[in-house]
Parts: sequence; C-alpha cells; structure tokens
Amino acid sequence: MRRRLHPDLVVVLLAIAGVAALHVASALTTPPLVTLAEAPARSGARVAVEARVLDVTHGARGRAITLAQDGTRLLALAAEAPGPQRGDVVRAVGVSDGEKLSIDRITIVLQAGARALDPSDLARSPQDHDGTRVLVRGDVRDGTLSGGGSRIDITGLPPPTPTGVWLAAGVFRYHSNDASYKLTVDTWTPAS
Amino acid sequence: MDPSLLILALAGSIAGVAAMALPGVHVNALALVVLALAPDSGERGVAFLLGALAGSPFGLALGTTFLGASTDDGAMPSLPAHALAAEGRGAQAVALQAWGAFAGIALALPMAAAMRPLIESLPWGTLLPWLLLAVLVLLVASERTRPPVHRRWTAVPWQAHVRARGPLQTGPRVGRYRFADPHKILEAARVGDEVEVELEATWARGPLSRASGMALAALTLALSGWLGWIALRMGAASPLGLPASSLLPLLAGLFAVPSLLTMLRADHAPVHVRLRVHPPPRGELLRRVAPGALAASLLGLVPGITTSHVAALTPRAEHPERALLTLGAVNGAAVVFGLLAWHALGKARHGALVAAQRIAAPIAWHTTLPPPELLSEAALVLLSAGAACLLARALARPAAAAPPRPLARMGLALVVLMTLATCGLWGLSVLVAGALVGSVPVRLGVRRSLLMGAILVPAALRAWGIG
Repeated sequence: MRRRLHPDLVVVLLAIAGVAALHVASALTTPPLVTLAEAPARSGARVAVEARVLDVTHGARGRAITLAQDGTRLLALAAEAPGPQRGDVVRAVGVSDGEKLSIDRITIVLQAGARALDPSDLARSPQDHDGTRVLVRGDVRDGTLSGGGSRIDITGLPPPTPTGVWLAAGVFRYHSNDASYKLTVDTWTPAS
Repeated sequence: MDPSLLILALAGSIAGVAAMALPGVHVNALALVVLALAPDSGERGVAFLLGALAGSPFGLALGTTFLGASTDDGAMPSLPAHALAAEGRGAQAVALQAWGAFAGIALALPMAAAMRPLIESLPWGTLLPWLLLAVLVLLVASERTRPPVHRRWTAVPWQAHVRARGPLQTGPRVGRYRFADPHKILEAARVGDEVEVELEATWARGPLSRASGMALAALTLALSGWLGWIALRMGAASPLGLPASSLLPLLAGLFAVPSLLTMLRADHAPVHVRLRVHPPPRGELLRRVAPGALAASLLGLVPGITTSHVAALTPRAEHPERALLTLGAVNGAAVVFGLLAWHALGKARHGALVAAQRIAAPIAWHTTLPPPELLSEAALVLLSAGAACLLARALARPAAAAPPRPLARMGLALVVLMTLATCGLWGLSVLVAGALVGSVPVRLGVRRSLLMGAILVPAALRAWGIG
C-alpha cells in the first residue's frame, strides 16, 4: 500500500520546488542590454551594460568599479574577485538602484590595449578612456600622434623616429578643464 | 516649519495607519504609490512619507489585534494582542500598543541623538559581516520549537486494535523492542519469554527535539534566504513603467499572503470591544517602554532585523498588557532608529525611506547637535505619531466590527494587482513562491520572523563577498 505524504511535508516540498523553479527561470532569463545612460532610469530592474572600466577600487565590502560609456560614468559595486583592469571593456550584469549598479556577473569583452585605437576614437569620447591603458595607431609629428583628424600630445618614451606611423602603448589622460589629451607612452612598435 | 509640510505629514500619518491596518497593504506599498505618483515632489513627498512611517506602528496595532484575531489556530495565536482581543479587550490591546509606540518614539528621539556618534564611529565595513552572521546563528539557536522526533512504542490489546481499525496491514516483525505497557498486557510474562504483541507508534519530545527545532529553523531561514537571493538578484521591472522593487512581491508573498489565506480560512468569532481603557501609570509605562526602545536601536543598524527579532531581546513580561507596551515601543522606536541610520549612515532600512531617498537625498547628520532641518523632521514625526495614536484608538471599534473575510479577499486582490503593475509576471512568480515559503513556518511550527532570512541571508552573503 502506498503511504501518503504528510501534508506539512507536502507544503515544504512545494516551497522548495517553487524556489528551485524560480532559480531555474532566473538562470534562463537574459537581462536587456542597455546603455550606461539608460541604466539609472531602470531603477530596481536587472540590466546588462557594456562599458569601459575607468577605475577599480577595493574596499572592505568588495569592489567599486567605475564604468564609462559615451561620456557617461556609473559606479558598479561587486563582490571581491579577480576581475577587470582599467581600460578593459566589460559586460556587467546586475540590478540598478537609480544611482549605481549592484553587479553579480562581470566578464571582459575586450582587454585594455588589445585593439589599436585611432586618435579620433580617443578624441570622440576622451572621458571613457581617462586614466586607462590604450594602444594607439597614429602618425608621429611634432610631438603628437595624429589620425582621423585628431591629435594627441605624447610624453614619456620619445618616438623612435621624428615622423612615421607607429603603434604607441601607454596611459591616456584627459584634462577636461582645458580639453587637452595626453598619452604617456612606454612602448613603441612599428605599425605594419 | 512650513505648515504645508505639517499638513502633508499628518495626511501621511492617516495614510500610514490605514495602509498598515488593512490586510495585504503595507506602508512600503504606499511608499511605492507615492513614488509613482509624485517622483519629483521633493521635501513635500518626503514629509508625507515620514508621516506615513510615523503612523505605521499605530496601524499595525489595529491590524494585528483585530484582523488576526480568530478562533482558528492561526499563524500567530500566541500574540498578546490576540489574547486580549479574544477576551473582548481588543480596544485595550490597541491602546496599549499605541501608547507604547508613541512613548517609544518620544524616548527614542533623545536616545538616537545620544547614540549617533557611537553609530557613526563604528567600523561598519568590518563589523557588519560578523554582525549579520551572529544574527543568523542566534536566530537558529534561539528557536524554541521542540518537535516530537522520538518514536515511542506502546503495547495495545489485540482485540481492541482489530475492532478499532480492522485487520492488520502489516505482518509480524521479529526483534527486540523497547515499549511502554500501560495496559499491563505483559504483566504475566517473565524475563526471557518470547511474546507476540501489537505495538502502536507515537512521536514524543526527547533529547533530539531541540536540535531538530534548530534544524527546522535553519531550513526555513535557508529557504527564505534562497528565495530572497534570487528575487533581489533579479530585480524587477514594471510593465507599466512604474517604480519597481522586488521587495514588494517578496515580502508580500512571505508575510502578507499566508496571513490573508489564514484569515480567509479561519472561523471568525465576533470580537467585543470594551471602550473605556485607562492609561497605565507613567512609571509602569517608562519601565516597559525603555527596554523596547533600546532594543529597537538594533533595527536601525543591521539590515534584515525585524521588530519580532529585537522584541525577543526585551525582558519577558508576565502579562500580555505589559508585553504590548514593550512591543509598541519597539515598533515606535524602530521608526526613529531607521531615521537615524538614514541620516547618519545614509542607509534606508525602511521601504518608505527607500522611496523617500529616491524623491530627495537625506539630510546628512555628522555634527553633535542635529541640524535645524532634522529638528523640524523630528517634530513632524512626533506630531504625526501623536495624530496616528489618536486615530488608531478612535478606529478600534470600527476595526473590530470590520468583516475579515471580505477584507482578506480585497487585500489578496490588491497584493496581486500591485505586484502585476509594478513587477509584472516575474513579480507574480516571486509572490507565489514567497507564499509557499511563507507557509512553511506555520506548518513546521517555527517562528515566522525566520522568513526575514530573505533579506538577512543575501545581505550576509554580500557582506562576506559571496555571490
């Protein structure tokens, strides 16, 4: 004879099944990809953003990651873990609280300096690259690196030749008060 | 003080009393509505929400006293308010809680001012993970349920058993059994004899009952924590573009829906109200209120702590009347310490303050004396609480006469509609799962406050850098 389950046990099992089903549903749900500017307006919702990491600080309760995209900056809080570096382009998933993102998943889409940028890329959104390590392909002339109609002042290691097309790796700085750009170069590579 | 702010705060206190008194509605839901309707209302919106928050303990007194009072073995039959309501002294229960809440607010205001430097100087970054862990351990360890987990065998007369239940379902088992023999069936047997007896199993409390109770508490805490982790991690988005918070379906599912379902099923007896209630002597009031107000300071400091958790820290009262004064004080002082955390730490511990924070940034308080704006705010809270206290007492009679079943149906409909409007179908799924998890403590006989694991567990995981 089949024994009937105790009603209390049935309720407990149903509760466990309900939460497990919700867990599975949450794992299968993909949050909408929004721009960094849109994220604060979606307060309370789970969103995904793709942005460049401008800064990472470590505190007692995890990491505070400053994200930048098209001139917009947003703070993202995440648990302590080995993660992105300055300049990396990341995909972050979390809940927006109107002022910041509480992220639980962050993956690197493009590592800092992995793709050569044009000086005009940097000039278009200098705030997104401020303080990050970049790789720039440009024409060396008069202490500047130019390309796409934009010019960046270069400091640090001097270029191997006074003119010519070179790949320069270094830290990009943007000074908003006088709208000037500066690249502190540490490596020069001939552009093939 | 701007008179319009006072009027709005008083209006908020009336709304706060109504929101907490009506089943299925909560001051947090009211805050969401305010946020949706007036997101740019600035200090006026904040004044309304502060009034609502100050009025909430008084509405809670009405709701818990009358709308949970039934002859059924409901979710919280042991609450002192229910005990008085069952005796027809519901108005006294409301009055005692209201006096306690008002005195708690009044007493907590200077206490909060005195505690601010200490609260601000504590190293929260390193302290909070340990504090949350300690709360979780204490919640499990302090569980008082002792389930009967020990199987005891009793010998029963053969014929009696057969007559009562028909033929035996199982064949004889051979072995050594320790059993009780209250009917003296084996009186004639000697040591060493082989006997054939019919045994009946019963479950009794024993040495393992305490550990089992703790295991059930841990299960409830873990289950609610799992649900809270999923709900908070997934957030919520309104299909209508309204302000959304996953806390609404989560907390409504865990707490409101099971209570409303219990109300629907319960066989409600008419509750008589004795209207002439005398206030307690001042000394007695202070003796009962002070420990409650002090214990409530924890509410402002640690996320996920509820009034029922801190009420357990207060001295146990011998009479329900005294317990109600302390309980009211805990609820009232919780408002003040929530405001202290908001202004001194920038942490919104109440749903109403989360909404207020989205409307206007809190006034920072980092000086010994509170800034003038905060003194005005304290006056608003006190005046709103005073108005709510009078209102709650005046509403005791109509609340006692209110039909619980239609109210419960209305509450359920409201919860479902609000969930759908603010959180969509995902919110409804959280509500259903929350209602299932919310039924677990009633079934297992453990405290319902363990369900706050939905907030505590995710907060602890975050504080420890997990997930």
